[in-house]
This record gives sequence, structure tokens and C-alpha cells, in this order.
Amino acid sequence: MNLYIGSLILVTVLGAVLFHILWTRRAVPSFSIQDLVTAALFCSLLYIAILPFKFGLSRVPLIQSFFFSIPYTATLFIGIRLIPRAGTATLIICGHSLLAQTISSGINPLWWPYALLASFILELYFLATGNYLGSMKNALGAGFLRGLTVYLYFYCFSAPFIWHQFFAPWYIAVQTAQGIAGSMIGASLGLYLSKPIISATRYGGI
Amino acid sequence: MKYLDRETFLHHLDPRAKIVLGLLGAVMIVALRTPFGLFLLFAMLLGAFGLLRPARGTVRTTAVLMATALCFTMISQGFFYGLEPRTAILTIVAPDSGLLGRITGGIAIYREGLLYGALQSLRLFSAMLLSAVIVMSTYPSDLLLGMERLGVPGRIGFLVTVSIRFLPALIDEANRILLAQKLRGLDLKGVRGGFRACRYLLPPLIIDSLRNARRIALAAEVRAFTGKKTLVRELSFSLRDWLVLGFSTTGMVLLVMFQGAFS
Repeated sequence: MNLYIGSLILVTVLGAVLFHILWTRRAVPSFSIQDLVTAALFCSLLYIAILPFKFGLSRVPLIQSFFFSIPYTATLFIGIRLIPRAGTATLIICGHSLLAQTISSGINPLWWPYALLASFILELYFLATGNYLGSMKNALGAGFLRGLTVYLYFYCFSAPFIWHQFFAPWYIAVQTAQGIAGSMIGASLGLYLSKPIISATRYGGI
Repeated sequence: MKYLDRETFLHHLDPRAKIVLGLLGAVMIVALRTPFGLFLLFAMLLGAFGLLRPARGTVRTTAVLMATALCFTMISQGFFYGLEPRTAILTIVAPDSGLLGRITGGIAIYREGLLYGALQSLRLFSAMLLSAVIVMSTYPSDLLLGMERLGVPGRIGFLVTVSIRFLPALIDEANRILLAQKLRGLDLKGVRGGFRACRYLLPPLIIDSLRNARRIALAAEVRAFTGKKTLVRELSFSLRDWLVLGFSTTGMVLLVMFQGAFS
């Protein structure tokens, strides 16, 4: 429980750092209704994109991280490419988490730090690089960071301190490596798929 | 799990009471450590699930999900149990058998780990039942209304409401696009087919949905939407809600306080 509270403090500190940077750069996120509706669309898309994997390959032990992170990262990154600015990652990741909790898994605050951490890490990365998935290198870096943070947090904090389940270090390493690989593949897929979508948005009269 | 249209005691509780009870239940799942405490929590939630009078199909699905969770938890904890004493009942990789043995420190199934996994499954079952009870007894819009009344910003509520509205339309549209792609000869079988489906489904689905999104945003903007809603239905927290909340909270606090006595 103490480590869970520790992780809450970590997330709060990350959030405070993020807010401070945005405040000093006068870039505190403000979303128009259109941005909010687009983010809402991506929250639903994330829910749908991972459904087949949630009940299929991702339930198979040892390979779940890999198969789960590909569609998730691809869809998330398309959303970020469509609204390339601070706050989008948080809006989509936390919105999807709330959506999934509202309609299927029940409101559970124990999962909130997980979603917030995944969002804040990406936001800080984008702020540090000054690039919102504008290049393949940036997308691969973001995918790597997402996989590393999310799976390490899950296997080192969530699993032992929330679900009281323990995993051997080699297993955590295997899962994290798979999560990183899956997220990087998802990132490149997202970047590849977002090109025709952005073209359609710009020139297709959407 | 989805909303179940019934007239039960749980359906009549205020969504805010259910959200608070859900939060307390989630904390209990973490805080309880004894087999007795975990079993009691599981039994209470199973009773609440029974009160909803779920359909036979829902009961079967829940049972299958629980059986899967039990199997996976027992197997994973059987492999990774680290406390002593532990008895290996099946050694798969011996610690001194080459590189794999050295990296992993040996892989074996431990009897104590299997038992620990079975006990920890009660935690997972409780989480599953807690979610099922809240989701099945509360209409999603009521849950969102409850969250807004508990302080969640209006714009976040709007985001989740719109996402819920998008879901059925997106599923319909996805099925239509997949059918069209299949008619064009796209093979969707196997893992490769799954990835191919992603590739050929996502761009047209997103482009089409963006068109809908623009229409919704325009409709909201021309009505000068600011995030604040004029509610048709107001929530009311009755004496029954206070009583349920009071009894449940007292019960949970007592259970945590006295769990040591039953260990």
C-alpha cells in the first residue's frame, strides 16, 4: 500500500512538472469542442481496437503485452497526429480509461495512476522533443517510452501492490521487452496509417 | 457487462452512492489480506450480484471469466512464488541447466504458489463482481451524471458521453467496412488476417467517423455549448442511500480492523 501511495506521489510530481512547464511556456491546453469530439472519437476507437485482442491473444500468458500494445499504440498515435498539441495524449488515454470503466469495468481509482502515468510520460516526452509525432524517430521514441513505463509500472507496482501478484524479474523483463517492441511497431503503424487520414482531413473536405 | 434493465434495490440507489461504494470496495480489495476477509468480501459482492437477478448467459460468462482468471493466476503464481517454505512439484528448468537456467534461476511450479494464486483469485473475482454490480445496475448516463455531481469537470463528462454515443455507430461502421473488404477478397483469417484487418479498417473508419465528429462539434458549437449542461433529470440522495453508505462503510472498516483476528 505504501508503494502504491508512493506511485501516486510520483504521478502527482510528474503532473506538477508538466503543468509548470506548460504554464511557463504559456501553453496550458485549451481544447475546442471539435478537438474534444475528435478526442472522444479516439477514446471509442481505442476501446474497439483493443477488444479483439483483449479477449483473444492478449489473454495468453507470456505474449499478452506484445499483442495488446500494437493496436493500442497505433490508434493512440493516430489521434495525437490529428491533434498535435500538449494535452491530447492525456485527454485520449484518460478518456479511454474512464470510458472503459464507465461501461465495462466499473469506476476503479486503483487504475487512475496507471493511465495518468502513461499520459504524463508521453506529454513530457513531446514537450522535451518539441515534436508531436512529426517524424518516425520521434514516434519510435514515444513508443519505446510508453512500453517501458506502462509495463514496468504494471509489473513492479500494480501487480504486487494492488493485486498481490508477484512475478520473477526475468518474466518482467520479457514482458517489458515485448511491450516496448509492440509499442514501437504500433507507433510506426500509427504514423503510416495517419498519413492518408491527415491528407483526407486537409484536402478531402472533411 | 452492460446495463441490466431491472427494478431492484441496487437499481434504485443514487449513482453517487454506488460510485462511493465502488471506491471503498476497490480500497478493500487492496487492503484485505486474510483468506477470511477476502472470502467475506467476495461473498458480499456475490450476494449483490445475485440481487440483480442476472440472465443465465451473464452468469455463464462471469463463471467462465472467473475460471480463466483462477487458472492463469494459479499457474503464474505457481511459477513465481518467492516466499519460503516452498515445495517444487514440477521442475521445468533446473537452475544449473545451461543459459536459460542461469538467467531465470530455475523454473518450477510450487505447491504454495498454486494455493497463493487460488487465494489471490478472490481479489480478482471481487474486482470483477464489483464492476459488474455497478455497471449492470447503473445506466451509463446516470453514472456520468453522478461523476459530474462528485466534481468531475463538465468537459470530461462531455468527452465520455460522446465516446459512449460513438461506440455503437463505430461498431456498425467497422462491420460494414470489413464486409466490403471481405467482398473485395481480403482474407481476415489468423493473426496475419487480424493485422491486415487493422490496416484496411482503421483509415476508412477514422475518416468516416471524423466526418460525424465534425457534425457533432458543429451542432454543439452553434448552440453555444460551454461544457455546462441544463439537466432534465436531477439526482436526489435519499435516506436509503445514506443508510446503505453508512452500513457498508462501517462494515468495511470493521472487516479491515478485525481481519487479523480471523487470520
